[in-house]
Amino acid sequence: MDQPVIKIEDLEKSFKVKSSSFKRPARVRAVNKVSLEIKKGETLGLVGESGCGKSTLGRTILKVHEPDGGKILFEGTDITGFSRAQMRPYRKRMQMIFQDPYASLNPRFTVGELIGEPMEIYDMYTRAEREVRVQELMRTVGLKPDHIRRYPHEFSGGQRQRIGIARTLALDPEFIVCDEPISALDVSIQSQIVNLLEKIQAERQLSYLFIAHDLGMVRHISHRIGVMYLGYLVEVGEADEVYSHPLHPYTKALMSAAPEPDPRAARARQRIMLEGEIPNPLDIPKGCPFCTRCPQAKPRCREERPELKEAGGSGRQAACLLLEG
Amino acid sequence: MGERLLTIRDLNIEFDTPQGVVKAVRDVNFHVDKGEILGIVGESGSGKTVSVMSCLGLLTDNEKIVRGEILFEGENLSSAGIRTEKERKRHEQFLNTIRGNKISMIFQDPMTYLNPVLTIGTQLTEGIMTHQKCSKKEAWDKSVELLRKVGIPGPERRMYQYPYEFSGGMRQRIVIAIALSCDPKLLIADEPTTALDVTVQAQILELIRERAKADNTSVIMITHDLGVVASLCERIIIMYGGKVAEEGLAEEIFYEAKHPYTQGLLGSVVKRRQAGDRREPLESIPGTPPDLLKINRGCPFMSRCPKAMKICKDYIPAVTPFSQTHSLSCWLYCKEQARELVERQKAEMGAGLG
Repeated sequence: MDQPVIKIEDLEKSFKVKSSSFKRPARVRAVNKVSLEIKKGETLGLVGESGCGKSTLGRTILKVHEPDGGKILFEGTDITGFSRAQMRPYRKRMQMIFQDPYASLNPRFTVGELIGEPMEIYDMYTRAEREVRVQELMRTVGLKPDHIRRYPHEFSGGQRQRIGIARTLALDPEFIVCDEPISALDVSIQSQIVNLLEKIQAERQLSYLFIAHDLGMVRHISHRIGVMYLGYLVEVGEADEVYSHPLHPYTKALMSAAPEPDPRAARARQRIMLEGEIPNPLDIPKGCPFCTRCPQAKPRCREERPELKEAGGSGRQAACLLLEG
Repeated sequence: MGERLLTIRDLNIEFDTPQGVVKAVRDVNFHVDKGEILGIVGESGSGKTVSVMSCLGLLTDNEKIVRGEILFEGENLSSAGIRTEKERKRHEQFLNTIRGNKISMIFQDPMTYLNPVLTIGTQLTEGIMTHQKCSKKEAWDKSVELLRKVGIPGPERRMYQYPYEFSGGMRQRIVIAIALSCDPKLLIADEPTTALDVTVQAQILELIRERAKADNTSVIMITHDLGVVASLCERIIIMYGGKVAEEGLAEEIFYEAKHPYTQGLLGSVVKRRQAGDRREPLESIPGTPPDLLKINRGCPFMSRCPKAMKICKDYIPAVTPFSQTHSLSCWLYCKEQARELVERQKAEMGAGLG
């Protein structure tokens, strides 16, 4: 039972960027030696600022991007080197929910075709059975089955996200990467979608990798949380623990900067204001990636790169030299 | 209570669309005091941006103010009632003396707001030279000072650079510098931090607060993020379906919310939890925001309201005050009036039949 659904070890992914036609192309290292695991029925939240590599990590795990190094284990099977053909049976079991429900649905397909398409590709069920299943899925995600012949433009943003979720669920996956599934939605709709995702998870024992920048929502939905900065995983641990007792200086700053919907608490709170912005990922600082903005940086931090290590028990890990003492 | 700077009365804005007339803003009333930071919260299509844009005459051709007054320091900025081309031109000229001068604006996306082919220096001095009688040298010096005030290091050198040479947060600082360049009385910030990262967002909000307090500038902060208004705003207006649902001091809205929509909105954001009580489903508001083309006659929130009554369907609720600062528009809190209305209607029906 305790075998993780997903386990990644030292995963790396970089992209070539061409800055000028005369220079050698540089490499943006989007994901740097990230290791983590996700258990059955568990949600791992991934937070970080734009450009920290959280979406790239999600896509690399699904092998949408070919990893440059490290290992991806899906239920114990090493899928890192798998070819497209070898991946095919696994694709069914690992799926993705996208951010923008306006861009991710083909406007020329009806809802029925959209939700049925994955099953058709995998040659599952007969045509009649598929139709029944599509209606079932629509009910599961809270859409009216009689809307099966409608087109995406007839639905609101929240309903479209429901269509996307139904499409994802069509193949009965075990692991879903949710890449900012609520960022494009209105506040009152966000909570509907989060509740739906939680309900489906409880019913089907799904594992989620939940990527978002809304820290409050991530805390709510996640069992464990990973914090990324410049392609490095800097801290990982139980959701409430990471929020209430952040260890890494970056996590501390991130948590204190998160807007809090409570005026008294917001006023009473001690904010850690970070100087400046994220450095260019083409030019990651030599030592600790966070050393240029860290309020507690020591000379040693500029020389040595910290590794993710046990800190504070109960599976908590952080990458900071100061914690090592 | 402070001195009034801006008063909006009975504002009604309509959009002409191919599908029909959209009543985007209906009978909106609010005011801003001098030196106050006001938050306007609402979802997309609630009319929050349009009602504030109209103050600056920034409506497109198919959008128009059909009724209402926008009083800014005693002068009416509303274009309602303007018929002839000559009047329209004169009004436009008048607005030009206000825009960017007494009232200025910070937009959501700094990259689309700044002109990519002009240097920061040119863009900063432009506004100052248009509105204030001063030489280019004076405007330049003032701009350098402004950049320093908004926290841009090495401003003398930065003046010669182009927008692409700045990061997102830095660009937003420049937009704020431009907005502050003529010492405005009122600063309108339309989702100024939505495009920014959390740590940068905190910096920018702090900057807005700091500048507003230093110069006693009033700020209208338009946002959908309750977290942003909680830390920044003294007073909050909640808009829904083109109408003001509830209005009050930050404490009154966050701790004594009365309108079912405000309550639902607060319930659907994650509150600070104690360790242990995790994994309760969030409260959520069923349904979706209304389609303003097909809005019902009564309360716009009715179709999603858990406490909706019969009267909500046909009648728009009156504004009920709770304290000097706190008021809302919901039939639940003015049952007396509701009963009267129903009685009167019954009597009329009876008379009609008889």
